[in-house]
Amino acid sequence: MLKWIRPLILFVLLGFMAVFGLQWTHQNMRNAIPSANSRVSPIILVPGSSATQERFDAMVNELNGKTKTSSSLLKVTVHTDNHLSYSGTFQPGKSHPYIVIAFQNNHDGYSNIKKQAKWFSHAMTILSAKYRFNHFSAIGHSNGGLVLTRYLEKYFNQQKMRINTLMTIASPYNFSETNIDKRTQMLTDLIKDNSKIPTNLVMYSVAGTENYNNDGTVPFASVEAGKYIFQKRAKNYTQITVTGEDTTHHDLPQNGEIVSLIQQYVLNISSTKQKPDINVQH
Amino acid sequence: MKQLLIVTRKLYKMNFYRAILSALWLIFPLEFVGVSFHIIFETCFHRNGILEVIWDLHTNLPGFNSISYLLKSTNDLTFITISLLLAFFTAENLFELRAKLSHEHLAGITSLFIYFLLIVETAPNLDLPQITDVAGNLLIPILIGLFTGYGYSFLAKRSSLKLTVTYWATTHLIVIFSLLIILIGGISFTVYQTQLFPNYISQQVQNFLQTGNHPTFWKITFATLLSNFGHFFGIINDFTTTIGNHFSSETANLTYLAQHHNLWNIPYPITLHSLYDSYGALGGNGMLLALAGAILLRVKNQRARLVASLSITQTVFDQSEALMFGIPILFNPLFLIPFLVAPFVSMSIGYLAIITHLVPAAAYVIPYATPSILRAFLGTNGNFGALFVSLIGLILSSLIYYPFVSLIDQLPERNGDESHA
Repeated sequence: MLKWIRPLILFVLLGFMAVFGLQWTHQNMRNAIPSANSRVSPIILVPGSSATQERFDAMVNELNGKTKTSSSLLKVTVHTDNHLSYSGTFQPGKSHPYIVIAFQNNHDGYSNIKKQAKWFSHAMTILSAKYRFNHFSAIGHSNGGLVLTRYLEKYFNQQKMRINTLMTIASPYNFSETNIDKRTQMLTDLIKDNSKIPTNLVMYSVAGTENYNNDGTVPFASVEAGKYIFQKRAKNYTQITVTGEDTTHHDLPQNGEIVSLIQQYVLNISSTKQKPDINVQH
Repeated sequence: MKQLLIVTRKLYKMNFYRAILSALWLIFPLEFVGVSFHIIFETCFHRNGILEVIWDLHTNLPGFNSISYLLKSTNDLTFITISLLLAFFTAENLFELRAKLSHEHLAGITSLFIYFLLIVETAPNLDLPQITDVAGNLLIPILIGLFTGYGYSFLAKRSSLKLTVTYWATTHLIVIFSLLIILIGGISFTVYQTQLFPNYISQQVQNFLQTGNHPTFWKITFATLLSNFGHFFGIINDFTTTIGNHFSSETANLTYLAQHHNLWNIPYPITLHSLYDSYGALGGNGMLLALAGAILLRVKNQRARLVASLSITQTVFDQSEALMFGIPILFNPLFLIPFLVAPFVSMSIGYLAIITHLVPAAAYVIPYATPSILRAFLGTNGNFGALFVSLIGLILSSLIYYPFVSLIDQLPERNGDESHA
């Protein structure tokens, strides 16, 4: 009897090690980060509710004019049945190709943002494989910023993909709620899951103010609520307020100051001439 | 075979060989305990050790770092003690055999003293891991022991004086020890000046083998052969690992895997990891797991059976030192041939299986101290073909060891007290 106990224990131990060791090996390899960045690093643009894939045309034109480049612009719409329709071009040779990811169903509301984040993730999987990139920067206007935030928290795989800079323009993290003490369900959820946000993320949240309270559509307090999600979590969280001409919610993407901000913080091409007159709050 | 047996029998009758054998046998229990704790350290308390990763011990176990540190230093000290004892007992046994004197520890003490000074003074740094590294070379204490033993027995015969701890011994010992200190100091000084540290030769061989960008089958075979040859003579080295780390192929494989997760198309399927670690070192250098199995199947000799059944568990974890001490395999001409041939055969089978695409190459990172039989399996992310190939390699190696192992029973029976007669 005793003679058999030792080999038995040994075999059980070996089997145990085989099963769980394999699990570790598997996990370890899945977590291995590709050591090299892809050469292509696109800038993903996500429009807000009611906006189509043409939302950023004016902004990209202005950016190309300012930086004296002709970066390509690819416009992708994700349909409700998950298929993608393309227009425009993608030229990897250009420094920063732009990709707009818009949604056929572009309605407002938390339940729709959840759906859009899922569509967005689906589009990213396909686009990153098709155009071979593993890092990107993203700009979201209005609800587009919410979609990007939810994508980072729910679908983003840090082992396969890296995000360099995220800029949200007038994104209402607390919807139309002006009182910060009243957190909407979405804000509560986003704060709850903020541990998934990459710690190396550089984040800018831009707010426009037509008067002292809002940009005509989104309350300033709601944009400011983003700090509860990103502050102390992302590597950098900077909130920027833009005032003056063209600061209504819908004009913001092509607002000259914001275009300068994108050029400076997302494209990392600083213009020596024109410094935007901005008020930076940390 | 017959020749081999005759040579071995002759060797067994020679004083110096008997001195080594009985020293090894005396130290076997300590080695066994040391190795057992070493396995506990490597599997549970080494970062990424196999049981450590399974239970995530470094976060779940309070005091993980302290225990780890304690075990590590205990292990280091145990292995240093073992080599010190080896120096002591070899000299002592040889002196007693030749001068027919017993209970005089002069030779042993002198040898111990020489060896201790030497390893500490010629270690590149005065810290425990470095000294342990130097002490890992078991050939040095044995040689020092033999020289000291011969020296003292020569003195004993020539001077016709009783070499006892008497007036004579006391006065002469003062001179002997003073001279030794100066001599060893001189040697250490030269070592430092010339940078000819004890591992100099192996470093040179390493440099030679590291030419070129990627290891070939023959280069791996040659490195393994050299490493095993050294191991057989007590030069326990991590030479193959060091060479393996030098080549960029494994990094290239990992980079590829991180992106594509496809083992079949990795750029460099033949690496030290995929051949030697996975198929050529089941049970440590020389496929000793096969030997332990063969002994248990075949041999009647009670002592060999006891040693094999005690240390087979350790051999599963690649710690075959107890087996090397107990049978012994160190310096035993019976086992030199299979010790070199078995890994070669097993690696060749692995090589053929990989290049014919029967199994993928083991390129995944596996936990530290994974039992050898599981290494190919885990390294290929759970390919049962790879597990099967390692088993075939193991069985073939046992067959290679088998005829040699059966000679153990035809050797003269001996025990630890024999040398004291």
